[in-house]
Amino acid sequence: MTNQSAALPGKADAEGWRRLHVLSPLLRGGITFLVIVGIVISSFRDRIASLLFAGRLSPSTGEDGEDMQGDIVDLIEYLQKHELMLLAIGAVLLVIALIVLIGFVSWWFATYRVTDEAVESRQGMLFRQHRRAPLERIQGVNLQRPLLARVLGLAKVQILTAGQGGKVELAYLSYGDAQRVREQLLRRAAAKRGDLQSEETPSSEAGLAAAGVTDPLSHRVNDFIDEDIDPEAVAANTLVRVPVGRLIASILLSSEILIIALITVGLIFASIFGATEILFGLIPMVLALGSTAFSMFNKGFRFQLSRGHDAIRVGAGLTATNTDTIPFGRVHAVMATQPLFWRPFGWWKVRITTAGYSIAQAGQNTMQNVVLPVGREDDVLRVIDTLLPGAANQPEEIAALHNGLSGPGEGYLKAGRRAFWVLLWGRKRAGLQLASDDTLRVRRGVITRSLSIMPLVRAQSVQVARPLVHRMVGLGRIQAHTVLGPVQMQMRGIGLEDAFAVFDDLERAVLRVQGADAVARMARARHREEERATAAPGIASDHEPGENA
Amino acid sequence: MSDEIREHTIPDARSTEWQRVSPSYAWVDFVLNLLFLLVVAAAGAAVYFLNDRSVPTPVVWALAIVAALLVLNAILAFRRVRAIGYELREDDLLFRRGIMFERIIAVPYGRLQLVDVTRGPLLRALGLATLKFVTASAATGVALPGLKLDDAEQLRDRLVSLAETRRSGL
Repeated sequence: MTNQSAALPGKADAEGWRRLHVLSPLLRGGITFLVIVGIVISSFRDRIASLLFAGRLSPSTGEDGEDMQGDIVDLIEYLQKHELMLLAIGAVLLVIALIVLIGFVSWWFATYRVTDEAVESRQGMLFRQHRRAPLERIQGVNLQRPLLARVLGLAKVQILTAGQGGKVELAYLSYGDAQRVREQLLRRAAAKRGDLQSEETPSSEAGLAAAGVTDPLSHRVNDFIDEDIDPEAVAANTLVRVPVGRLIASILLSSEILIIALITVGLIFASIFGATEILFGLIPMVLALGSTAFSMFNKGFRFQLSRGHDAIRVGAGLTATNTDTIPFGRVHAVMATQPLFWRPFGWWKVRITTAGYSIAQAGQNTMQNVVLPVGREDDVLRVIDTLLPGAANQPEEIAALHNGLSGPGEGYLKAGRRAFWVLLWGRKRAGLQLASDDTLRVRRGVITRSLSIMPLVRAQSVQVARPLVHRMVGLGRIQAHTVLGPVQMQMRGIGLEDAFAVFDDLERAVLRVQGADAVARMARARHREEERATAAPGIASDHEPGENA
Repeated sequence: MSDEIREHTIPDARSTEWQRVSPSYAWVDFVLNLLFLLVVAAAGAAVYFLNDRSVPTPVVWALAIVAALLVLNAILAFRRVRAIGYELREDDLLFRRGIMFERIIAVPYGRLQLVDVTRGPLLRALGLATLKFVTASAATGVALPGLKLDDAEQLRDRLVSLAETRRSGL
């Protein structure tokens, strides 16, 4: 353990606790700081404006103190008049000192620790908080870097677990330290699960050093640019990128933007034919258009997905960058969607459901949980193969996925007779398949096409339902429940007999796969225990000596 | 537990002999639904007093329709409770409920995160309890209302021990 701790950044105290970066209080209070600066600047802007237009505008300064309108400039003049300036400056300095002190105290008491069992964080002086997440419960590790943090070369580490709001946040560490902490966490978690023999992997730092970056300034520039790719992925060529041109085109053709644009055009026409006042309604629409498009661009810029040897890494961002790392086997469902106007180009978007993300930030916006903002079908296949290893590396598997994505959907259970009543025109594409690689696949859609895939081993429960309309036309609805997330594993409008048959088949397959998983898990746990017992026979006194041999 | 994987020959979901919950739970459901009638009555009274002691005809009709629907819903409670059923199969819990929105759910025991046994004042008066089977998915929503308290506690312990031997990851 001691040699592993050496790989973690910073000095640790006797119990292994480490401090965050000194600048972190500044960033954590950064918003407040900016707001205060903004208020001061905006009030001085009035002052400057009144100086420039002194002749035309009546200055807002009153003759006496009673006339002030909450303006800081007025306040200063009032203070000057009554010779309270020194006192005021003293008070301001005191407040600043207090803020610095609070920042320092909060920094002093905010520590973290990574042990072989768990990652822990402590903070607060008066109200202490101690969080502990067992390593085997980690659902993902994210590095978040708001613009200010990037300028200062810092990053926030977010360790996601499956609970409600269950995350440990280390805000902030220097970028290199954050990467090292992440690598340590993932390696130890993988070793704990016993999934693989964890060997030393080249860190991103080492990658930079190899690229010949030595002087601090270019190091800092690289740091800001933030190319956070698993070095192994580059070697293995398992990298998916999104060209900027395609990203822009895809945003312009996305349903969100097209709907807003359509409304905008409608408003323009309405104002041309009479009601000019409608034109004012345009301003919020244009703002919405711009901000939605920019936010999509911002979040999808320089998107890259790469596969390391124990995790998937997804990174993107223009101003604020975000890199999510998802250990293998934490993906609960995958969904590829294709809006109408992407169809001529064959573009798809891929989103996933994971236990970490989804519960922490369920459906806050449509850019969440995106593992491919836009890509061609071969990108989609590579992404799916990365997320669900072995799902798309054989020719027949690729053919099966193509069949599900954009093919005729052969081998899928189709919607039943009279399914028009519940699916409308969607009944043509709708289909469900219990694939041979133990996944459930559902295809849907008329305007926006989709294909959802869920490994059966992740199903929480299985449901067959007959809501009112379904019941009246003799149909059923099949649903597999996953953890909360954007992917819905649901097929409506199946003929009733088929629905019940599928329900039974599905549950049987789920039990078979999950039973095998449980057995393998237990065998692994037992194996680990035996290993531990042989390694330290003195400690494991509860084992028979014969069992260890 | 043996290491060999059992062959899963589960019977059809429809040929199941359902275990039913206590019929007296229907009265709890009935009373709770009737409580909504009080809300409707209060709304009527509020309109009556705020509107110079008269109620406009459309409002009378609306309230009457809502009240009729509530009464119908309350009476349907008896049918609804009969529709609730469950069965402990070898590796999963099968659960059904609903008449107009009928659904059957199968939950593998290994997916159990926790079991809740709750008792409201009405349920307590009848010696009943509600058992909730919670998985990592919010959509599972398996709740068995109106079990006898002893049965509920026995069932809870049984489910927990079943889950323990079939534990699989999230």
